[in-house]
Amino acid sequence: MEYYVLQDFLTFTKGTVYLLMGAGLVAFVIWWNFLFSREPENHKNVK
Amino acid sequence: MNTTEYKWITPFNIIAGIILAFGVVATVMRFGFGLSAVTNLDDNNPWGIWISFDLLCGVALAAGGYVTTSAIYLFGYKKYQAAVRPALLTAFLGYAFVVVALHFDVGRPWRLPYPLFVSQGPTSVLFEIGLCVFLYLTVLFIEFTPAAFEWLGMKKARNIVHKATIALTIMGVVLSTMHQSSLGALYLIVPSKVHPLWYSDYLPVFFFVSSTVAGLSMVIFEGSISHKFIHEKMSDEYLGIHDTFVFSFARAASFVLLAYFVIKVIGVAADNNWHYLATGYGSWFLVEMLGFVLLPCMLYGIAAREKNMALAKWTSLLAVLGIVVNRFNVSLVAFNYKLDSADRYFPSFWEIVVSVFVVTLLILTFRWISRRMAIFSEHPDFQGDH
Amino acid sequence: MLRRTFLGLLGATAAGLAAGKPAAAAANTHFGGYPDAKGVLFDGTRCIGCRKCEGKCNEVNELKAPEKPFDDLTVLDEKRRTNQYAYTVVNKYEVEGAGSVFRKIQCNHCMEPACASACFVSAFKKEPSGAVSYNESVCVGCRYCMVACPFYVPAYSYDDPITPKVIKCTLCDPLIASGKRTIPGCVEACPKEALVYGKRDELLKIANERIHRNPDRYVDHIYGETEMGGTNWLYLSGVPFDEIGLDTHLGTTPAPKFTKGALGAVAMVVGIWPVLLGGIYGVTKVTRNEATKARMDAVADAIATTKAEDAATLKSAMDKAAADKAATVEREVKKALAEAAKAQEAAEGEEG
Repeated sequence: MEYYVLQDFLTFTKGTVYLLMGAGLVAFVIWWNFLFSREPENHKNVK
Repeated sequence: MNTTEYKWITPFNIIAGIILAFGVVATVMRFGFGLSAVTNLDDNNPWGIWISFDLLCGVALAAGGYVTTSAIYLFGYKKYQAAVRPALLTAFLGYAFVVVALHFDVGRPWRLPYPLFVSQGPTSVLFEIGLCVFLYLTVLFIEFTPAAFEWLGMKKARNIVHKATIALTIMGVVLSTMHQSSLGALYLIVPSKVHPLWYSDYLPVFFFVSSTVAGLSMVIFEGSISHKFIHEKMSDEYLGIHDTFVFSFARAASFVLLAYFVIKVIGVAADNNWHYLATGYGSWFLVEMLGFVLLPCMLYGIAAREKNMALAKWTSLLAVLGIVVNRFNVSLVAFNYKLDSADRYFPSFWEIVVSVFVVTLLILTFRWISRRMAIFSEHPDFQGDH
Repeated sequence: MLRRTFLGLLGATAAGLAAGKPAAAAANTHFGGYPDAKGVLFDGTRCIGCRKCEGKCNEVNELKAPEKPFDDLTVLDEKRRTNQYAYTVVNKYEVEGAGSVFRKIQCNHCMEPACASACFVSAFKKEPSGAVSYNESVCVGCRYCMVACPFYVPAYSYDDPITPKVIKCTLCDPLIASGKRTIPGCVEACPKEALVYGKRDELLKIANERIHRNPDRYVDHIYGETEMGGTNWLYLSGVPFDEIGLDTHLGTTPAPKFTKGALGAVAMVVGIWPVLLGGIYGVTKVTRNEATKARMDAVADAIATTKAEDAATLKSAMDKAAADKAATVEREVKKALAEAAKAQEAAEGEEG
């Protein structure tokens, strides 16, 4: 798809970026849990 | 629950009742006869105080939620744990009533979910704000649910939410950074309409940095008000940390205000706007900068050093006012500065009524909840479980 | 309607990818606008302020008739703007040395519309025809488009409680597309040919030619050629543009670029903040854990020391007690023995 108007181009790219932002946030949570899943309990959650 | 009989006829309740009555009239007029029946909005001035006050100030002043949770859960101020719930409740209700106020302002409020679910406009700053406010309201709601679950005796649900505290806090800071700054970014698109002293490429940064001041100050301010009126509901733990907590926040606010002052001056320098300082708008800009930024910075600093509780509280009021002044300056005073004075906007009586009405609803809801749920205290079943 | 939305564009791009075409332009690509986009050239030196364009516009768009008829020229004595009953208005300006000068205003149909950039439901769209269209069926009524428009064009029906909407010139695009008209109403109505409808490229040529042929008659500038990235409505004037109410300080930056940077920063916040904040949380937690451990060690130490001291004290006390007891026993035994010896001695003495 070719774009003649910057506005249409941005509508597409910004939309994609929003989807990636959502994916990124989910990835951070999953990866964080993976990184700490083998740490001893007291290290994970000390009050 | 209070066993003594509740007194309905109090000065507070009478005033609240009158405001509610006026608010109902305004609501009927707004939705029955359209925006023009109650507002002074026109084609040149599409946004009035329902945006300037209810949205811009409302969201900024509800920043206490992310400021407090991040200080306590992320930055290591665990000892102030007891201050989390009042801040979260204030923030949640703040955002909830921002959304209520928006129903008055937009032309077809039943379409408010459209940007999210029907037709997305990802190039719009307002889309980003809508998305973030929607998500953040959800986050705040979840963060607040433990208090409700405890009240309802739902232990399991409460513990599940409790485990997600850190993730929710980080999510809250991310979303707040995004939409607090974007409220400033709303005006980036109209460099020709906003006075140069208030227009800057840094507008989003200014709005974000000042929102942390607003959050810190609102927590101090709201705490001192609650202290007076809901004292009997406060635990010894809350009362015990209250003083040191206020001074920590005052010190933080003072330091951030200095940073805010510095970047605002950098903003003037970046666009070479010095010569505007000698004009009428320049005088007003200096009043804002010196009276509502530098002065509270100094006073907070002195209050924190001298452990002067009264000064800290009064300064919080000044700082909150300063945020309101700034948001009004950007969105009303500096906006449309090129138009003739006859074409400029001034709020109508009913617009002010609606804004006051929404704030009153917020206060009444806050009071209702804080008298029932464990907000200023720990629920006896969950003591010491942070 | 789907093609208006981002998801629609996403679908279209996916289709483009499948067809093996290049998907999207790079960031440094120049967007020149639709090649066949049309527009209107307004020549201020020809306009006589007859308001016929206003009247025709009102008629073809079926708007409410105003109180004063369109041939009443006293209306020109006050400065007006577009509103919900007028897509276009003509204003009169008294200019020194030139007398009364007239200027028509309506939606300029920007090449990069600020309203479209600002709209959070993508209700505005730059059409290949050149018009900026508005889709009422998704409009929420936030009025950010009106805030964003540098030309103060969009109006709103504030007095409508149920179906309020944004109102602005359509370039008669729907009427032309459906074959009801061939040119916009205002252009058709103009008796002085102050308005020319055509392809924007050609309008620019015509405008340049007019300036070239009559350099004394025109200001050497085509308003709208570059303003806000260019508009499809172009203006020629014999007097400086700021004297006929056109803002000459708008610059050439297209509106979407003003917010592009801020929206880009937002994405970086999402990408970086969780890591930064997670790191801060981790550091404070480690510090707190170490502090907790140190405190616990200290407590354990203190307890151990106290215990040892206690034990020592107890032992010495016991020893002392034991010694005391032994001494007492010894003493008592000695005493008893002595007494016994005495008694024996006495007994022996009595016997002896």
